[in-house]
Amino acid sequence: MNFTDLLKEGRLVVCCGSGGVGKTTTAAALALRGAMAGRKTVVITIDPAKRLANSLGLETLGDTPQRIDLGALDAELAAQAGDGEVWAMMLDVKKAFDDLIRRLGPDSGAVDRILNNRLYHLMSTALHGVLEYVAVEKLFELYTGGYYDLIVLDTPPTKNALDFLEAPQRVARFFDRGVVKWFLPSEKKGIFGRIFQPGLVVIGLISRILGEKFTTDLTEFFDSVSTIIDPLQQRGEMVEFILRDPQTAFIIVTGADPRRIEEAIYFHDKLGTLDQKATAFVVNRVCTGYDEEHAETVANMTPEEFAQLVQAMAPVADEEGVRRLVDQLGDYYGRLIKLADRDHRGIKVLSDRVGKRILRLVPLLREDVHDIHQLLKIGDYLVADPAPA
Amino acid sequence: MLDALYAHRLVFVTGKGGVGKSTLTAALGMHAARSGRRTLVCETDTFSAMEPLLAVGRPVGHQPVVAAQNLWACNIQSEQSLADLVHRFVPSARLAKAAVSNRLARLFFRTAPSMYELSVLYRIKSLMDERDGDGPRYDTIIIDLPATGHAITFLSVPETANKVLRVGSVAEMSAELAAQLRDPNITDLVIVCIPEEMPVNESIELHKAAHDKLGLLAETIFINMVRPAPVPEDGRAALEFLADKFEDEPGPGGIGVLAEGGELGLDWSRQDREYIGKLHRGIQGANFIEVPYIYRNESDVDLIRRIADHLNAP
Repeated sequence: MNFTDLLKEGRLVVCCGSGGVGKTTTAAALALRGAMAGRKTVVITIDPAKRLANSLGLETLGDTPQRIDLGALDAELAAQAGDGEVWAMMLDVKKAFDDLIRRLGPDSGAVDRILNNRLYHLMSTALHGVLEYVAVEKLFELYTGGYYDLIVLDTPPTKNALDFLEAPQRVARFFDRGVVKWFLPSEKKGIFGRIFQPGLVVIGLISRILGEKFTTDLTEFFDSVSTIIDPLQQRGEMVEFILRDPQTAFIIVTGADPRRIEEAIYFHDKLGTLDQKATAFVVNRVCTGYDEEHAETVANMTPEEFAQLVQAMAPVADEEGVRRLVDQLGDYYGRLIKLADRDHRGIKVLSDRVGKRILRLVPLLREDVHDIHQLLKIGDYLVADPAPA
Repeated sequence: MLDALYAHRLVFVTGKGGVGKSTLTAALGMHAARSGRRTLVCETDTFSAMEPLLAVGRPVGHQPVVAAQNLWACNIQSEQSLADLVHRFVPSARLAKAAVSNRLARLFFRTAPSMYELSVLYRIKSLMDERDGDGPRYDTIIIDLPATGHAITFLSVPETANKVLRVGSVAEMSAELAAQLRDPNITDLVIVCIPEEMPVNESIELHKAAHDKLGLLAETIFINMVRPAPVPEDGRAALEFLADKFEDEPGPGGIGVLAEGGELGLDWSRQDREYIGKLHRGIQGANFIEVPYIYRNESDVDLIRRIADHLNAP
């Protein structure tokens, strides 16, 4: 799937990448583009950036999708979007996990038992992968809800690329009957099972290390959650199915400096091991357009040109001041050249590896993205023809 | 200025991903070692950044390796740490290793809340307790905390574990560890930030939470990647005049393009100062250290040397 088809026909776009590379902004810009293609789009973020909410005309983002009033932001945009819509929400992990238990629990008694369990509180915030699991869970809800045509997911920043994709499996496995049944004495077992229980060995070990009391608490916990294990696992499987669907696209967001590029390539390779591939690499904050040649032209300014400059600057500076300014600007320009050079090299490494065609370069902007027009501008770069690297 | 920081046995470096946490951890380690302290720099379960940053010259693994005079580096492996921890409770190292590699037990420990964090902290404690002759082997241990998750949650793990387990050896060990992590004479927290919206907001929250939840002051705050202004304060008016005058045209000798670059730099620097102001207002009485953006074309270790030199400046 290419980028344009993605906005027209894709169902899910997962934006991945490490922290601080502009993932959330990219996700929001994509969602706007989705709406401009006439689709009902929702963007899910975990990043509570106030500026992003403000740039979409909201004070804050809530934990349920809120519709963005495109007309109030930009009349032209609203006209272009037609039937297209943009909705946005921020994920509240703890609340989403509680909601999940409420939805899956067979009755309110069972739900209360889980929510009041002493270990549950700890599990729901500290269990490895819960954030990722809840994110994909929310995704499942919106995906199967039927209202939205396109979902843009801003993933939690992970150092390990696989974390996010493996989360559904991992959490599901934790609640796997195989593990749970060690702790559930009520499970029916044959004569062989009663004599030989590998679980008992493990429980013995855990008790020895973590204390008897903990094992008792854990048994109680598993007992109380046992009612929701099956639905939790089924969901995990379905989410995995969605992530492998051809209508699901992965976009890797990165910066241009060599270390970021290295991370992006690492991410790319990991996706490969899961039989997935990135639809596009978005390289943010690219410094470009500064070159040595121009710096030299200015450095070799003729006396006539300099005199002309001094004359033009007369209202604000004397000759000495102009000379100083030219020197300072030359130094600064030199820094920009270094930055541009570094970015150019980083992008070259990436394009040699994954090809130019799927790279989208977003130039370094003058200021933070804080209004709709800047978001739209970023969107323009995302759908533009691949830039020559 | 950093002596008070290095006087702590444990220095945890924290910050949002992408702010240069590893870079500053390496620079702090180099700087502390130069001042004569036996310093150990720790990463956890990561693609080691210290290897290139400190030019260690060999893989940095679970066991500390020498990086320079007075400087060691290690990359704590949580699985190995867990085996170490289990070893305390089962008689032989082999059995401990076998126990944690059992498929089911492994699955349990992999997903069980905070088990890995606890093991890593336990490992850090063991490193802190290591002795060399009469004194400790390492005076200062600087830990590059994982970017994901919250530093406060990580450092609260022993306390939480103690509450959850209530009784038993691990509960006792956790209680001792929790007390050390909350002792401002032993533990300090360094916050690394960059002048951008989210990192600034998070740093302000983190500073408050460190105080409220752990009783730590987090007095050292690095503001990394501060972009310098292209011209000093008194040259700004002239630069703006010049950029206006030759907007979208080359100007005499092509100066217009340079003016445009300069104006861009002026905007960046203004924006940075705005966020730095916000950080100062949000955190009272901390020691703010600004590290300039380095437009580099140099190797990793030279960059670290440069920043370590910068830390000497008053």
